[in-house]
Amino acid sequence: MAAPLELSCWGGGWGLPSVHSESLVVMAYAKFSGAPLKVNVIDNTWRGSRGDVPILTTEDNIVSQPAKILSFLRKQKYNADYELSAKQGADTLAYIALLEEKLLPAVLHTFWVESDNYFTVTKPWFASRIPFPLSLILPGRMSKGARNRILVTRGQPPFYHLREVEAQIYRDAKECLNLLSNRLGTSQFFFGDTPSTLDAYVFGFLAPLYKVRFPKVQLQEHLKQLSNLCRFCDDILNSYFRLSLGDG
Amino acid sequence: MAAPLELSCWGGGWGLPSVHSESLVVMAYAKFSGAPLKVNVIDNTWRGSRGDVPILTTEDNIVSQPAKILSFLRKQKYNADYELSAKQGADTLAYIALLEEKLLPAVLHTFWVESDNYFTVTKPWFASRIPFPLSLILPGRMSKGARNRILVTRGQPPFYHLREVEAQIYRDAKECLNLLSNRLGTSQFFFGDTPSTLDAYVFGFLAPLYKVRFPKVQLQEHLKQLSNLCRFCDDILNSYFRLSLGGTSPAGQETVDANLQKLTQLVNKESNLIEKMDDNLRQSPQLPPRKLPTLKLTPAEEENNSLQRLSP
Repeated sequence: MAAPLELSCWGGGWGLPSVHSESLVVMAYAKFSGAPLKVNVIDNTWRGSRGDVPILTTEDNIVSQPAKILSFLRKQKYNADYELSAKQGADTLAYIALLEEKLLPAVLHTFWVESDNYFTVTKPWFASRIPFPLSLILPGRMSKGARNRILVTRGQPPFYHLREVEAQIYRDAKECLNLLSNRLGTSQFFFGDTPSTLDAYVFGFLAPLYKVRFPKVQLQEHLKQLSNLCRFCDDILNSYFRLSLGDG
Repeated sequence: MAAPLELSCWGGGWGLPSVHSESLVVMAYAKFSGAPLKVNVIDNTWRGSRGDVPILTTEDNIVSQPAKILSFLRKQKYNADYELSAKQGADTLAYIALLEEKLLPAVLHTFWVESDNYFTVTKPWFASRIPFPLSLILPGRMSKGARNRILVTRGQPPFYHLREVEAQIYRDAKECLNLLSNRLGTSQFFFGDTPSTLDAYVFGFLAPLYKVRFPKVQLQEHLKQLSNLCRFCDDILNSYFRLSLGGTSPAGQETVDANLQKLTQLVNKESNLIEKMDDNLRQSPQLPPRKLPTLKLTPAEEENNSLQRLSP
């Protein structure tokens, strides 16, 4: 525990510590579990690979991918799920899978595929944090990766084109948001009074959707009608991230 | 409801009504919800597109994809989730997503990517049910589709090759199987005593893995150690699919013949007993109609159906 844990991740904006879902999941989990993370925000002087972000670095290890990073933190005794029952643990994994299957495609689409959003917000934001000439290439590659991810997992027959998939993925995302709202109810967090892994994931996926100002906002509008989910995000931002936003 | 519902799907083997997960999910749901499905097994005389299978056809509609077919059946009032709470409904969707994310890649790999399995079992089986020359092309295409599906969803950095992904997807699948086993516990079904959509999905994904005989069987071995999941699959096969297996395998036919024989013997015994009481019978006009004795093999509401299915 003496070795400093450094997290390299995409930076923040619009009131968020990070605009990148996966980075946000790790940051939230670290706050919930009390892990002392030194956060290094990626800017255009950063020389590392950006494909793997967020990346956790310790003296001996380099860990990427949120699930692996959380697993590593748990092994270091930073465990936010200590009080969960086995069934709640199983439900956690099931709901994370649901987020990745039903909500993630629409979030990816909103950020990286929807033209107005991508060209006016997402691309300039990321390009300003990537050094030239990579800034000309990497955002486009991330956009293509998002498009492929959506098409391969959702573009099954009878959908063959992105346009047909779009309607379906937004329908699924709205249904998923409704489910999450139902499941949360009036509780402060998903499993009682203390936040756990599931809260970190839901926060990571929802907060960028909630806060980033986009031209095309249909999913955002739907989320804003689910007041308990908005309250959930605001609570976490105010309780765990307020003081760190001083220089954001 | 008068319009016949026809389901076109891949056929069965190894004791299963279908070896194809998605077809099995729909068949199980139809049994659970009481939807009267006429099942058309795809063989090499079938002329339709095979990419969309399973396909439900009614007079006015053609529906593909299991989720859409189940949705359609629910709209026709065949609803297996009627008694679930909102939370159980949400859990259903979450666990289905878990199955598709954690278990499906390894199932796809076991059937379509693992070379020994693919070349000795999967490819011959499917090719024999596809007409020439499509039989030379389609299995390979299905195999490539499975490979792509695995790589795109799981082949994120730092995994760039299938070999690295393989270890991870089997680890995830075993973890998923353990979770399902924990969640099921000692219950008969996932939400109590009656099967629902989640049971149909779990059965659809697990049963082929459980029953199909492959050379490379690591995931199957793991599943067989989870006895409550095996019991779950066997229960559904025995309760809902046994009598329909009459035409598909010699073992199935023998079971049907044995059942028929037992039933005939019981009926004969009872008719003998009744004939011995003929005086009382003739003088008692209020005697209730003679009930055929039923075999104690299935839950009460299945017995009448099973008797009807025995007769051609």
